Amino acid sequence: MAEPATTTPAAAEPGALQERGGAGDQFRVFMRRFLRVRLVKPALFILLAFAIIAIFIDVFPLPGYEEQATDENGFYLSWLSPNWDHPFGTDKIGRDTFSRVLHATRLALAVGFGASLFGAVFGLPIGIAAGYARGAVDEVLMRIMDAVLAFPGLILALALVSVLGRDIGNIIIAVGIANIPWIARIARAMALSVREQDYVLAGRTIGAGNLRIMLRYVLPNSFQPVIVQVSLGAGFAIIAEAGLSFLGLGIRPPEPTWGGLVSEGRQVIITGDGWWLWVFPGACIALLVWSLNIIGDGLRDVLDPRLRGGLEGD
Amino acid sequence: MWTYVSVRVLQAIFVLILVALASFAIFRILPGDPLAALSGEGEAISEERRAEIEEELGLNKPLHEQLGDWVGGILLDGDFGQSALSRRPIGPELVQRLQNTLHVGVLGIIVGMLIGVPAGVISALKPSSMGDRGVTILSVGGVSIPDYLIGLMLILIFTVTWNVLPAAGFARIWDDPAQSIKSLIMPTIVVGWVLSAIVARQTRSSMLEVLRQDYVRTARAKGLRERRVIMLHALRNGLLPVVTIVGLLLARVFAGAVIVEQIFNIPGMGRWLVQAALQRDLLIVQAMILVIAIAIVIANLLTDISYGILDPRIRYG
Repeated sequence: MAEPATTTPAAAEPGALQERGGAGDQFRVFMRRFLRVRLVKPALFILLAFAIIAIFIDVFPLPGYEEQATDENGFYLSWLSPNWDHPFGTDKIGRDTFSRVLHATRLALAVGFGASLFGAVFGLPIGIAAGYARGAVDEVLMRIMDAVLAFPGLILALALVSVLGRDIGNIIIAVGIANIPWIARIARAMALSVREQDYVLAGRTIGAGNLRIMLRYVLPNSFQPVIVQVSLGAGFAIIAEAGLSFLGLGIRPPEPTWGGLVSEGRQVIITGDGWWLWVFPGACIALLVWSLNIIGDGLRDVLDPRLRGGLEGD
Repeated sequence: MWTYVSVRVLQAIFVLILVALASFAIFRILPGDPLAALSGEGEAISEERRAEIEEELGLNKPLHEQLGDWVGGILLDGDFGQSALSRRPIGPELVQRLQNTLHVGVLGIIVGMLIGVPAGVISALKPSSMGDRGVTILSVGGVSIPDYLIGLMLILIFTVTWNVLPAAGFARIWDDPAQSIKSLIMPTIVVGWVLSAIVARQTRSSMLEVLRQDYVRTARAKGLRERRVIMLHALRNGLLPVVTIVGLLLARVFAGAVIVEQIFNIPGMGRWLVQAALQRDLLIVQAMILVIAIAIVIANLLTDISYGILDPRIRYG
């Protein structure tokens, strides 16, 4: 199924000739294989939809997330079940759940990818330094990573937030720290194998220093597995942020969060009313995290052929 | 063998020291006030009162002495310090709550194994079959659907709609068996659901690996029944790596406890941790994340050692 790059239809197109075997072609081959992995297409579609919502939320003709719906007599339309005007119903003071759920998308994506990239920015140098230096440096750095891993992600985030406070930057840091060790382990494994390669030896013979080898040889080779982890890490971060908000330790109201919305619904669940308050934001969390997991697994299948035949078949 | 064990023990001790330093540093070095709980909504406590409490809790000493007192107190007297709010000692309550959390957690791990292992084996035996697809979908679902959603769905079905299970009222099994079983069914399912997804995934990949091995082919070639090949030759080696994730499962149990105990009103560590974090009673949070991290480091150490004993290949790894 791995077709040689020169037989791709794109290569036959006018103007595509100079690209043959180049980065563009590689990318097309990659995309074609990636899209063929089961469920990747719907997952990408969901991620894209959430991204569009997050970017253009202010353009949509929606009521504000704090706006309270009223009837012609000025009474608040509270506890409405889903209907045409309010597709996800309204809450106890008449706020439109649909609008609140969509408005929370931006925060979820920002914390998800922010925390995941935070982990990559710190995990990459730690892992590369450990794997490249080996010996005592490796031992110490990796034991530090083990120590971070000893704290379950959500609990570490909860402790850090209780100390640092609850603005978005602190939440990204608090959730992101748990991602550092995973990235560092992957980067270390790459560094350990790349440093033995002939092209590194060649680089060294022509006078490349340690820093240059780490930056120009090891780092680029670590990107592919790290991208997989960034996608999976974003899923974890979104769940963790929603968990913090659910527990009342996330971004402070009134700004809506998915976890916070679920928590509002939970408070009335025993009465049997208001299922729409938590089902819709909850479904958003699950859909977004599901799509990130499928994309991460799919990327791994395509980028790391050794693992193929794993989860998704192909 | 003994080299492997002693190296792992030394590593674990080093990690434990780092863990203790980290739990201390988070609360004393980062810009946060250990007495934040006392200066509630806007009104700060007076300077004298503050100095008094700091004196009493030992917070006015230099940092290294505080660290020494804290670690020394835990190691020598089992003294975890006191709550800044209630001033009650943390240790005794922590033991109580740890028991409650493990009560739910151990049941969850059992359920997770009982569901996850067979599911993983079935899907590995027939890759790409309907069963495999189902297990894959479930295991991706298990890591994608947050545990509080599962919990709320269960409450909606079993408490609100059918009214057969209580959403609160935790009791220990040896105190009140009937009540205990009723109140633990839903929390156990929530914890077990997440764990079974992880277990199924691990079992599946490890079984797939084993089924590719030569000795499985040999067993088949010499005419053994497929059943016997699987049960005797493949399973024994295939399930071994599953043991290594017990530490990871324990981490998930503690992380899950934070949520599950909140939803089902279980007086365990997770609920206490959330209360303490909300009230910013940081000395409690500090003690609890230390205990959780120690439990996980030790669980990882024990699984690594037992794995080393069971599988001679990794001893010199």
